[in-house]
Amino acid sequence: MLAGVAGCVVVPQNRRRYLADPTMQAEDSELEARAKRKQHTSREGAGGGDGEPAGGGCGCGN
Amino acid sequence: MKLRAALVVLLLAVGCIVRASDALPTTLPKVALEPATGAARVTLSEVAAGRPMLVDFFATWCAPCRESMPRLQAYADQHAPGLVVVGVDVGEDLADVAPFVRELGVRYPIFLDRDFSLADATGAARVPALLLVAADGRILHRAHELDAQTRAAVDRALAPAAPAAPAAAP
Amino acid sequence: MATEPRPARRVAAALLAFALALRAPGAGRARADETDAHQQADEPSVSSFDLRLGWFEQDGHGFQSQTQPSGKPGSERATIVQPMALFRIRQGKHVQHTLVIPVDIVTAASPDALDAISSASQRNEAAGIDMTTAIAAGVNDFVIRWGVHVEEPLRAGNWGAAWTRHLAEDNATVTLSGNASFDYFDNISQEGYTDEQRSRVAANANLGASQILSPTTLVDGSYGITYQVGVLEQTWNAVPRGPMRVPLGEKFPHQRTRHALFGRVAQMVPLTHTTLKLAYRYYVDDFGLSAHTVELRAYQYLSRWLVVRGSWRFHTQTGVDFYTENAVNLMTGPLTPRTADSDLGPFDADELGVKLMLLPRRAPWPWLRPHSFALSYERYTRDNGLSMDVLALEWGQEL
Repeated sequence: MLAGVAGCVVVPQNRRRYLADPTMQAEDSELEARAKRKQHTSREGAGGGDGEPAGGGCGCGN
Repeated sequence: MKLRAALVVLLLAVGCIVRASDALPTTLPKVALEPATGAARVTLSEVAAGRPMLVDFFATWCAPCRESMPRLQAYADQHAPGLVVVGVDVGEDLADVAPFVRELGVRYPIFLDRDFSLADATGAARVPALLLVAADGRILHRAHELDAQTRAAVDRALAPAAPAAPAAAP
Repeated sequence: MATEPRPARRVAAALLAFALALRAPGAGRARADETDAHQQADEPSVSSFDLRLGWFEQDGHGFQSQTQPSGKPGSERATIVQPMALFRIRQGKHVQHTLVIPVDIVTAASPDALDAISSASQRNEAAGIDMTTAIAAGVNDFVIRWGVHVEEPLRAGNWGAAWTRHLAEDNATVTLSGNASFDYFDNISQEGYTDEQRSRVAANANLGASQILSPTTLVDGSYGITYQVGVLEQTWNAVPRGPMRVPLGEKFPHQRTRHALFGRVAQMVPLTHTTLKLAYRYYVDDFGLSAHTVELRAYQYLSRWLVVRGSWRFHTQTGVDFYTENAVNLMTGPLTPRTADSDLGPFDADELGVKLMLLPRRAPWPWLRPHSFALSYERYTRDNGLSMDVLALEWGQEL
């Protein structure tokens, strides 16, 4: 229910100064995100959940 | 059952009904704003001084504003002095606005709407937002960019009034 | 293994030359001629690029390494240099292409490094290309992507699509996406002998959502499911059978279903010019592996244009059901799944990092404003015998 109530919050677009801040973006750098995703998925058994597949595309069994 | 409940909550969370907006004003509200020059507060109607005016609401964090403002400056140069172009920054201080405007080469007058009073009064809830205001203060046109419809509306606002028909002979 | 030409390096050079050829003069100036503006608006032009150079120093031991007598974990010492390039190509107001060219250059002595094969004193290079096209259409966004990845024993292709719907005056979004990949690789045995090729396929679907909670708070979450089928093991990995016994080859089931649930909250504190982000992921698959990952990031503005970021990441996983350091204890038959790959064993991993960022468009000097820079260092440590120092330098420019 809390999620339902939260769904009705409307912040006008012209008041999103802080949401548009570079530090509030999902990733600071797309290249950094790719490098870290690859680093972690090739060193750990877990992956995915970020819109990317959990495996494949590498010469590894992870 | 739990999965169904979770799906309902998820749909509620993202499917909020958009609030019905209040009717938009048809004339430019008389809200005094602080010029970026530091001069005394003034209403935009006083700045227009009886001429058609384009009001551009912008913010320094708005990427489309960064692209559109130089084009608006060129448009202002083409249509001066018949058309008045002003920029209104929403929610920010002069320390943020001054270097931004300088970097883009914008020379038309800039005003600060720190508390969103004019933006809220005119119903301009997004940036960039363009308002075309007639010489008598009526809001003629609203847009998000200087598109073809906005240019046509400006041309109509600047066109000289049609001469009155001659009185019939007695 | 015989010396082979470096196809990955030639591919990477050709792709970089192609990408640089797309660079056009800056198009940010106002144009009074509306006709010219419309004509040029739909021509693709490079609007910005990012470059990143990563340097990884890895140390540790694991059974997938072949440098030790059987029964003992071998060295996983490796140095990896990772240059990457990204180009954003605008095409009109609604279409943006993003081209990414990653290259890995691994120098290692028989490790299980990022993209290395098992061979003494091996220098391995890998390169790829990823292309993403994003189309903004009112309240709907569409993304199409494809990519290829090449390294000496492996060729991989991937493609995907995503749809995002903006809701509640753009205060919320819902995203549905799907990806597929196909890997085609040499079947290298433990002795380094290649006789044929193998393949595997992965299909993935994701459902995500984001929601603005306040002018300073944003939450987002997603669920992803991935199904893999084919030869999933690394054909050259060995599983020890105790001292003085010849190790066996790694053996995985032919299919794997993987689930991941992710959530994140970002909160800005305007009074102190601070931003905090907290992310959590739960992962589980039918190999018996489950994992929890938590990441905390704190950003502090040092000035309008300089930000320092501290990060901490903790990952704990149970290991797959068939992880073993002595196959004799596990096997009931020749096809029983088994692995001694330390990446798939039970462990906890910590990662601490710091990053200094110079933000674009905010520097006090006009000549610096189109540029962004970042320098970062991270220390990654696993408690089952692996550690990594990562140093990275980034540079971006708006054209």
